[in-house]
Amino acid sequence: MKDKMEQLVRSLKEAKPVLKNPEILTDSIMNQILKKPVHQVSPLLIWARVALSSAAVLLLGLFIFQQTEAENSTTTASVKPFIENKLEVDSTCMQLLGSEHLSYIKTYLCYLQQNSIENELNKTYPLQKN
Amino acid sequence: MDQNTLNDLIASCKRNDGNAFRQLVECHQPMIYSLAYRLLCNEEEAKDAVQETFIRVWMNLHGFDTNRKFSTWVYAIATNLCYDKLKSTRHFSRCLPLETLNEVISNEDVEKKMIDSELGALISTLTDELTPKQKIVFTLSDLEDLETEEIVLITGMTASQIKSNLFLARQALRKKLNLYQDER
Repeated sequence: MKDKMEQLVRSLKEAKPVLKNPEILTDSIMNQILKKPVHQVSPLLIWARVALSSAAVLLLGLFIFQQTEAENSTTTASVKPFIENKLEVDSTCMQLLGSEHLSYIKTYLCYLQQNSIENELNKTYPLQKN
Repeated sequence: MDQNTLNDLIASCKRNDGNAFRQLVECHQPMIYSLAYRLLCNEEEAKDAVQETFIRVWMNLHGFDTNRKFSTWVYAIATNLCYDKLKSTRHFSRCLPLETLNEVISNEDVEKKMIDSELGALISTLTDELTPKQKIVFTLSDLEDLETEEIVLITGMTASQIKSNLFLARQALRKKLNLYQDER
């Protein structure tokens, strides 16, 4: 079987397909390509390509740099932003209003003020630390 | 065609010289047709593939690196085209009569007698169960007699992928031959 296989492959290798009337195919190819001149890249396009590629690389570098910086500042500032989401019984606002009658509006205003103060503090935290 | 002449022709083609390109086509057309015919097993499809190959060569000649072998580059374009054709259309094999196949196997001078249509039918009958990749590797290696290094450059496959595909292709062919022998 091995001999048969080798013989068959040899036969197929030696029996080269021959193109009939190759000049007709050549003419047809030439007619096609004459309609399409060789694509030549203009120097302006090359310049634009280089400039855009450089800009893309720079922007990518800047983005990575900023990301790294942001990550560093997050890890340095270990204190998480404090926002009082819920009004607990022992919350500051409730304690301040302890002696007065329960007023939802006052409590809510106090809550908003408290949160805004905390957020301002958070904003200035890195400066305070320094 | 020697390397210097070839480089001169390529340089002329890059300057839109049609006559230089005609010489390139005339020189490389037979080998590309042979490859396309062996892969597609159909005269018209093979001619279309040759035409499309040379149009692509012309369109991409500006990017051709003269340090590379031109024939390998043209082979790569043709192989990619044929691979796409093999993948996109199901090639139904034109079953060759048992007697013809037996004659091919037993007759040592068969290549002198076989006409293209018979050759196409024979290759189609034998290789219809191969995957496009196996068919390409088998054709380039065993029929076109190219070295593995060149097939790597043409197909973009690794040497080990080529070897495994070639092994599977040969195994499938042996199986097919066994079937024919049993039928006899």
